[in-house]
Amino acid sequence: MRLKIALDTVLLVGRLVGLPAVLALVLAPSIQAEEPPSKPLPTVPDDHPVRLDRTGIRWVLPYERTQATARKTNHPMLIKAVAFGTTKSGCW
Amino acid sequence: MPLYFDLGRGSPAGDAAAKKVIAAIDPRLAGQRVPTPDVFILDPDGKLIDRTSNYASEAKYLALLRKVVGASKALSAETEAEAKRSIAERSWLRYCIGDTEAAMKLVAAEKDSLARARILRWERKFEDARKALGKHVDSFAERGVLEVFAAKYAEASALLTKVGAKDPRHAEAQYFLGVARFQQGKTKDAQGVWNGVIKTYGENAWSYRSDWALQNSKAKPGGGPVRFTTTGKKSGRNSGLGRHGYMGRKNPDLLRRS
Repeated sequence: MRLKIALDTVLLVGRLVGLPAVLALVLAPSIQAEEPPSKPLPTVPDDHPVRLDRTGIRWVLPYERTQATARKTNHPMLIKAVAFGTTKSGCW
Repeated sequence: MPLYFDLGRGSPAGDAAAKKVIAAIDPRLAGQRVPTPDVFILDPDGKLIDRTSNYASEAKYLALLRKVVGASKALSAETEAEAKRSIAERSWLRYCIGDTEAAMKLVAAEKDSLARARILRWERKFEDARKALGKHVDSFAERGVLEVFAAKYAEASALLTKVGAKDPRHAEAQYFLGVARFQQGKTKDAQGVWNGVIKTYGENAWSYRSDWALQNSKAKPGGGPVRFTTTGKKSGRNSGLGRHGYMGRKNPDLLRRS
């Protein structure tokens, strides 16, 4: 996936504590900030804690799928790992 | 391709394959009680391209992403789909990737002065940005945000209060109005504005930033960071968006500049 960066100071601080906001910016680079999703994006499994994320990052899960898509598109992978023991509800 | 996963054993956000790859790069992450993982950028074969601290500044992240994208002709070239977008969007993307020259060329025309002003603002060429906005571009939002960037908070406040509720940039304007008020020493006013963004817009990019600012603004001067709580909403210490708290860096917009 193209690393689409939008510099605008939207800088989303989502529920992914510590995730620098600029990583969230795969939004369309328009003068007006694109509205982040109010529902989980279809790329995220229904029972995965990251379904709670509203930053607009189009997560590609799990790793096998991330890599397969990266190989197909010849795009790099951006891996955000945490060590919280995230629960189903997104807490830790 | 962005992937999020949890190194913790048994977490529903776990990913054994991802953990194997990352632990091969940084063996410290294979065990228990690991340090805060970096953010890694890998090539499609799983080899490390670059990495940066989880706590890196926005500027560092942007520099990292620009470095990775800029190093690849395939990634940095404009795609067919991107070429169909508006001039403003195309120039912004060029600028974000680091190709300022191409970005400015796209918005050289008078009709694109708002898009040009935005890039100039980020380049911190405030006088040029003001000239680009001139008198005929009707954007109190852009004018106001520009003055926040330029640390002219009284001017910023005056402009941002004129952004109507139906303006597509109203949430952004309100957020920066809060920043301007905070920088003017009007912390309670600022907190009121940020609370208003959260109540009005709910889960929204500017609500997230407002929430971050709100929590950081509660820190006493010279004191430590505001403590976060896991004791639930009854404690009264949850953030406006119901977060337990914000770890990591402080909201950089609250750094005292004036």
